[in-house]
Amino acid sequence: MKRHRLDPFSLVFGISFAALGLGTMIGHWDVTNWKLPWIWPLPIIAIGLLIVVMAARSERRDPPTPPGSSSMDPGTEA
Amino acid sequence: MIAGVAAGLGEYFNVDPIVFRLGFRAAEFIGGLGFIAYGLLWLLTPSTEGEAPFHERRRRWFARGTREYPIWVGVGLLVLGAVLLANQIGVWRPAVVWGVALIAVGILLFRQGRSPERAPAVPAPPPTRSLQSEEPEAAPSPSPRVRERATLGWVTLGVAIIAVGVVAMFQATGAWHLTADQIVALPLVVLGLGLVIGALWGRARGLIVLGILIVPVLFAASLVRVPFTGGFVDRFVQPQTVEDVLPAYHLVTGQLTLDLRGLTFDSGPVSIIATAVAGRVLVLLPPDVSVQIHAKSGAGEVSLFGTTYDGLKVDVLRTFEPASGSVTALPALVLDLETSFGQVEVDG
Repeated sequence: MKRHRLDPFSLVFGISFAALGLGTMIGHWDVTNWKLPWIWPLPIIAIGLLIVVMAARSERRDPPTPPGSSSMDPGTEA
Repeated sequence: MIAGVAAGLGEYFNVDPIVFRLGFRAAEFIGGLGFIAYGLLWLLTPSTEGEAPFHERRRRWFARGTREYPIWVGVGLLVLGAVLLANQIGVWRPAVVWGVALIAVGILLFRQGRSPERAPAVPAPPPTRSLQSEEPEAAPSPSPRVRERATLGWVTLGVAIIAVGVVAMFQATGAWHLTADQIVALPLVVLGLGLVIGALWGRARGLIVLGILIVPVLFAASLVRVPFTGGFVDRFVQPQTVEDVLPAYHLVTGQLTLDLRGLTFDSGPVSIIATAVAGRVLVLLPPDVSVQIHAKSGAGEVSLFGTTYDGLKVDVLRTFEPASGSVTALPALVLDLETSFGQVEVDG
């Protein structure tokens, strides 16, 4: 198994599944008592936040543009 | 100007910044949307201090985001979650949502319109070759991305199956007693841990689909609060005397009929438990008997002498006195009836 960049989908779903499973097994949570309209937006927001934060972090890691280069992507100039 | 967001957007989209300033100002009157949008853009877009020109930074941020991370997916999920919560809180305003959606579509169209100017990014050029090289060689094509095998996913799946098997064995020996939802929760824990590992090492994204499929099963299993015993075929019980009545009758699936019409309950309270995991529990009572009924249905209905209660987790406690005769301090019959999925019916 190779290490790769953090995968927000796997992380959020993994934590959600593990928490739900452990809560049910150990904490005797009764999911039928949960107010689903309140619960399910939370993972969606978490994934969205992770993606946005990672995109911003990726941008920060981006090397500075060499002086004199145009605003076009590399390789687009003749 | 506060943080230069309008100026930056104007520069990025090659539009006079006044258009964006007016847009922000107008949006402030739509539930303060302008403030929120301005603040979000200020926070999410990178600073320009000491870096490349503003428009270049913005362009790279958008381009990189769309290439390496599905940033629009992220923003879309954020918006969807916020809308859902707003709906729950009660501050749902369709006009605001439509406004945001139209702005988003507009920005996307702007970007689409500009896209022909941009050529796709190309890989880094190969290392410089010696000028003495006799024959020019073609530049090596970029190596195709080798997809890692989903070993972690398969290992996790295997561990989850083994875990369920081990629990089932201990359950059968009586060493452990786990409820149905606890048993379903076990593979969910294993899948979750596999996914957390897969967030950094290996590949296991397929487990997300599997986990999503297990969640409704967990929900259904949470409704099962009766024992998985009694068989899978219809049972008809008709005791001849009160002494023949058993304290409990169980069924896994099918119809459990308890015909008590031939009995006379005058020797003290008699308690009967009758359960079915999925199916119908039908109890037929003799006339003129005082009875206390506690009837439950996880998902289905409870019908007591023609009165029906239905839905999720139906729980009814009722006492019926005989139409003729005196009211007794204690009921002659106490019924505890339950089905996880199906119907509980008591009739005369």
